[in-house]
Amino acid sequence: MADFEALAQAMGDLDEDTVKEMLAEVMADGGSEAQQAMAACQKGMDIVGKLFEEGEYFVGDLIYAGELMTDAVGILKDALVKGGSEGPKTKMILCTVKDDLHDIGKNIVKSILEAGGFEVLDLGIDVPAEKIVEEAKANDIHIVALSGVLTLAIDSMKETVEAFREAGMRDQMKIIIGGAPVNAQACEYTGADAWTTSPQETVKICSGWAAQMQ
Amino acid sequence: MDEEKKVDITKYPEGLEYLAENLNLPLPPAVSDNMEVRKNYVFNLISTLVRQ
Amino acid sequence: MTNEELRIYRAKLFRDASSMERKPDKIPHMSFFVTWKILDAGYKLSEAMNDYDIMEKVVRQHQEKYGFDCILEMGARNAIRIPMALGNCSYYVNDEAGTVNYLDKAICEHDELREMAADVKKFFWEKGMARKYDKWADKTVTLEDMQKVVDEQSIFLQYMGKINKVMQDEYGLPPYAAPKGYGYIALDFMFNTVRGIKGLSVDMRKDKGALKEACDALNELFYKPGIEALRNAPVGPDMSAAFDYDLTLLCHTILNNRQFAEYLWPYMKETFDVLAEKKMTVRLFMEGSSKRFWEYFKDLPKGLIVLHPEQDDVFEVRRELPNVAILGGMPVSLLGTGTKQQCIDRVKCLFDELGQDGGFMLTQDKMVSFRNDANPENVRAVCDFVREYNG
Repeated sequence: MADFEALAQAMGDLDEDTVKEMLAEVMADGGSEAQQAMAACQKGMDIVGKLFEEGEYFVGDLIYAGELMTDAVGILKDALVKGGSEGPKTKMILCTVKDDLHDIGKNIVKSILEAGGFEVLDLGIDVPAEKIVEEAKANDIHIVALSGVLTLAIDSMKETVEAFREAGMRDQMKIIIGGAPVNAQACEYTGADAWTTSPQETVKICSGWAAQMQ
Repeated sequence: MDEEKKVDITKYPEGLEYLAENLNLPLPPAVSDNMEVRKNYVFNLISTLVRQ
Repeated sequence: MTNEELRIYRAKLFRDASSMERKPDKIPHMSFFVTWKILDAGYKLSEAMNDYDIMEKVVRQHQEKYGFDCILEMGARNAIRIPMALGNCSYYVNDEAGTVNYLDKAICEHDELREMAADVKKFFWEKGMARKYDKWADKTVTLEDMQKVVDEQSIFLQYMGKINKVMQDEYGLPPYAAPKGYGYIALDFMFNTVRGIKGLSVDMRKDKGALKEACDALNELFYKPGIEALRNAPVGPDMSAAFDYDLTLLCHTILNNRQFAEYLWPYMKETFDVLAEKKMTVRLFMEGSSKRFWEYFKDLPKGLIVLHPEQDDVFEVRRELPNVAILGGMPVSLLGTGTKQQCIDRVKCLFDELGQDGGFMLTQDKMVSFRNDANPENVRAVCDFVREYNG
């Protein structure tokens, strides 16, 4: 049986060699413990998030963690059972808003959200408001996270909130905004429900919403 | 590739030497024939292009 | 005052404010408006970025309309005609949205770091260029193409010379900076161009040896010669310019504190030491927040650093770094969505709290790029208030 605590710690330490070595061992018998290994990796991402909150890690470490997590999923994916033993995940939308092409922050948050148990529908970059509304409707999604780095992203975020209002969906939605230009004033201006510049806080807030919606 | 001279401009160092010899560079007359100065100018231009 | 007297007077305002020992006659106001001013002048971004006559009109109108004491950017930031002479560039200009996005494209893969370190010039020439320019990649580039690039660069430099002279002679504006040398720190080069944000983040963890070799090689070529030129410069500030040196950094935005100490601070420290020895002043802009690194600045001599905070609170900068002058304080968010009175109240507060004894210069907290970044009426109100409150 693999040492899943050690695996989680290796992921938290961003020790790529040890993580990949341990995952290779897990897959040696066809991956009978793949689900537990995945859970250990997610626990490791939690450690990463905490170390980021404490100031030990910074953005570059989160980016690297995201890459390592993607590699881990790649190693385990053939053995992972869809849905697993964890039960259905809360779906949410994540994207970079219209006229903004930045995706690094969005991708960091996506890794942390997925590690936090969300099923993330990543709509990519430069996403118009109408597309976000359309996808939320089509997929019965009620949590939306909007990302942006440029100052003009604030206006695109406001347009997105307005678009949900015009579609008669605003009251069923929870919208969080994040990125460099985002602050309390921007949150008020856009009409979003919450704002953050921390990936861990994004998970915390969205998890709170998901719990309320159940 | 410059067909006439059969020099591959994209290769180093022959491309640098070829461009340094053959480009019309805005250098002061005192140094305009100095090959080291010319090569430095051309390489600086390339590093500017790479940084764009 | 003649324009020459005005230019000298304005340069002295910045110098006195930066010194932290002399109170300037009035608090100077710098423009950090970049592509916004093109739109404000009624032109499309692509028009001004491709036509230096139009860019000159944009800069003239900007000064005529608002009356700053210095303009940081006068068309140099997006010199797209030079790379476009070779057929493509990394800028994506959207005239409809009034935006310029920069397409992040690393020129070096992680597995190529040691190859690059072994011969930077060869790597840039062969692989770097091929990854940026289609004509280089498919080997169709000709001597004529490269002559166009040389010519475009000459035209650009002529424009920069002209616009600087116009603003000095006709508007009494001092140049923003007068660098005698410039050392491009390798890690920032890696972040901006060589590996990009994601690539560098991976390199920091994956193979520190390869990263160090690559940084050493880049520093040899791009940092050391600039610092040597600075070392050989005469002692003393260039009082005709607002600042002597500009250090704009981005890579710290991904570095944890240990990585900053190892990869970036030694070069920043060396640059600061040389500048201090020369009694020069540097405007330091660290994108995002620099607060994590303020402890490094605490012992630097007064008059060396003018910190231009983007996300950090200027009042906190003053409390924590009394040895550092401040350039900034005017939030773009307020210029864009605030009322005139809110903007004016903000300026008054900045002047009263930070500028009474020198050490403060007003400008926007971030590059003003997009149409809605600033309401022209708010900008005018701020500029009018600055003139009245100072005088």
